[in-house]
Amino acid sequence: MDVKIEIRNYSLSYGQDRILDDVTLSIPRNAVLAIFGPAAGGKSGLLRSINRMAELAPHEHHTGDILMDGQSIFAPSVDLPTLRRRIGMVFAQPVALPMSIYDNVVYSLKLMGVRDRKRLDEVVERSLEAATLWTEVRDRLNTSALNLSGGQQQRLSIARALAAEPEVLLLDAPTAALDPISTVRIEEMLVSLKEKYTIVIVPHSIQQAARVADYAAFFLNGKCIEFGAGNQLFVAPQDKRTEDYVTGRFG
Amino acid sequence: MKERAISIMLLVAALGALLALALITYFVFQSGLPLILEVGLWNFLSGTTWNPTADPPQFGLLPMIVGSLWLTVGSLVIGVPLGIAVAVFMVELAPPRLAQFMRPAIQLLAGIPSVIYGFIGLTILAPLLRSTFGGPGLSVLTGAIILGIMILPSIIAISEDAIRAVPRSLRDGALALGETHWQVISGIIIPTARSGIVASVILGMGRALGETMAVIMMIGNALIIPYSPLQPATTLTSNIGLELAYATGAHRDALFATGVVLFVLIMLLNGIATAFVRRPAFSRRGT
Amino acid sequence: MNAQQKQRFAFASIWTAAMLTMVLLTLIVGIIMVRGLPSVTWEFLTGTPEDLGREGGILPTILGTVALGLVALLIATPLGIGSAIYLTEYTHTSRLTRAIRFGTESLAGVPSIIFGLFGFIFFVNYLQMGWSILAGGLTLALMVLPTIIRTAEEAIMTVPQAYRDVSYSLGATRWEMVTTAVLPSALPGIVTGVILSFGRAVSETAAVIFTAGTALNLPVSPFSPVRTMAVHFYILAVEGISLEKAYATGAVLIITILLINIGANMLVNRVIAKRGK
Repeated sequence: MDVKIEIRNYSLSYGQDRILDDVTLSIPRNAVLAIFGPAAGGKSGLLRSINRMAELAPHEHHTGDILMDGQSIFAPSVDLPTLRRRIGMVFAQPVALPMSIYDNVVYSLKLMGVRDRKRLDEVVERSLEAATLWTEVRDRLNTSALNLSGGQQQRLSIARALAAEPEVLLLDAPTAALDPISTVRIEEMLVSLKEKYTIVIVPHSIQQAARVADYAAFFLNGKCIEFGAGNQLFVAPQDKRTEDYVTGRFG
Repeated sequence: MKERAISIMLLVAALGALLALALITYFVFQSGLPLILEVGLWNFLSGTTWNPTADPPQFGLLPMIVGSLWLTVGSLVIGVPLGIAVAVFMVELAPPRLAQFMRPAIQLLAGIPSVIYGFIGLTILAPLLRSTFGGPGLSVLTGAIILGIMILPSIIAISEDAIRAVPRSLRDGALALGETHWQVISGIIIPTARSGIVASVILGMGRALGETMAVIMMIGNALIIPYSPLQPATTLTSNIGLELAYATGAHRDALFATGVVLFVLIMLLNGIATAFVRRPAFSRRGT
Repeated sequence: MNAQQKQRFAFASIWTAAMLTMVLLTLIVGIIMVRGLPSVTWEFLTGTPEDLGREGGILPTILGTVALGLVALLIATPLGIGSAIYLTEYTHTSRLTRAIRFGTESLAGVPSIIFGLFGFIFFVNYLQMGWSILAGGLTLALMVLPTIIRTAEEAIMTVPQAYRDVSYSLGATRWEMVTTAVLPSALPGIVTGVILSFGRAVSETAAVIFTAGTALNLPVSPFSPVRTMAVHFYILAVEGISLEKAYATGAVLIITILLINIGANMLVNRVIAKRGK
């Protein structure tokens, strides 16, 4: 397994609240890893740790290390904005920034100082295409993104993240607030995206995990209980806790 | 490193308010405290004669203290019942369209310059009172009525918030039990909103105490200790406002000293008001 | 009296109180406008006062008011917005932030005569600015600073946290996040606070009269003393110079405040409408 991100003995707390407890996990390159488990299991915390958004919370404290391509993301030489750009994130609630669709997509590029109109146009088309939104909005790129539907806004969020040309995509329950049709579109999109990106997704149901994941990890109370390839965790879990959750004995 | 510089600049900006407060406190005290210490705090506050240019000069604040007291109490008598009533009205009784219309109107009332209020007192109310009750017209009563109206918006706004903060469940529960609307208002809503209402009153008190120009226009500016609201008087603020422009030397220092007394008084009131606002509008009632 | 009767009496009193308040407002504004508007002519607004103000217009006072207001806002707005940004985005609650908030709230409670005293002691005398636009503007800036901080903070805090998350995740630094994802949304609220502060500056008298002076000349430099409309109104009334001109000046004052209030309200409604989407 070619590893893109390695998490080593990583623990995270916000003040007194322990979010993650001694997690060791390898995230495979160019594949979809689904991290699932009951609420408050630390899944969002893990995602936010990978792009170092966790440290924005007050009284954040962590131990252990996270390496991307063999290098610690916490090294003093790491430039935070650059790191975060290499890792794209999509949140559970679709978020359209209060600006045009065009400006939403090129937001990260403008932060980097890219002004070349041609390049921006090209990135907009490419990203919206990859997010399967292009045909729906190509005629109204300069209208407010706030007018899009929830599903469209979520695909816009994905396009926005893709525009920064990240290497990793973190998706935290991206279809939780969406209708079934939008959900299917996004799941299909993810499958096509994994050729270029390393994808970590917190699915909003076990079924979704089973549909999209190449690998899966079960999280419970901040610990990584089990990790496996393919459907192994869903059909033949090794750990009893995994089995109990997957079979619905708790959740 | 640009981020660091920005962070520091913003911190400096944030410290501005604190710095201003420190400067104000320092300079006001530095200018006024020496005279208070020289004359003696008790003598200063209880002296009945204010004659700073006489030989020997007399610095007695009692007439002003009494004047301020009369005026403040009077304005509260007028403003508080009216203000609370309007607050209750806005939340509980007013049809929504009317409340919508009244709100910017009350805002306008709050925004009218105090000198306009003073002017109305001077040109309309004072002659009216003079013809009705006799006396000079320009008096504590005139000031109290106008100031009472002036502090209305503050009392209304804060009381409204406090009344709105009372949980609907309390209200609806009592109504369901068969209490009349008024019983609910007087028996449950107002007592529960007590802290906020008290805070608004104290704030109003502070505003009335601190008002200067309007008071000068209405209160008659006589250096006496008033025994009736129809008499003219002087307040701590009006005294400063009237004499500061031409006072020199010890006289000026005495005005600064008056400022110190006023400053301490009002900051104390503000502190008490804040303490009441911090208390939740919903106070747990014991069984 | 039974409960129903009590209620009827209570509600009648309350309705009376509410209507009385509206009547009083109408009276106060109405009397000034009715007696003052006829004298508010173009000549009045653009002319200079003659014979201490018994004749002529109030142009220098209008200019003085605007000048003081501008100076106050020029100083207080960046300081206020900077403070608000610092308090909301750059720190978590700590002893320092509590101290800053204490300072801001206390400053908001200081009566205007004390500001006038302080401005007189510090700006006019200690810093030797004399009675001037600068001294008056600085004093007013301190007076409106808490308002700007408060409204800016509120405006910033209503910006959804999601915008910040998105911005950070796309590689923004804290300052970039603030300027591209937070401030544009918070702007209408902030501007409302600034407009309301201008209204406060226009109405102020006690703080202004002892720092900017009462001179009736046209302002030529930041060190010129000026008389604002409110101060002019006060002097006309208290020294019995001209009742007619006083009413006229009062009318102009009220119109100014009305316009400012309407402007601020329009902005607030725009904000509410946008958020409702």
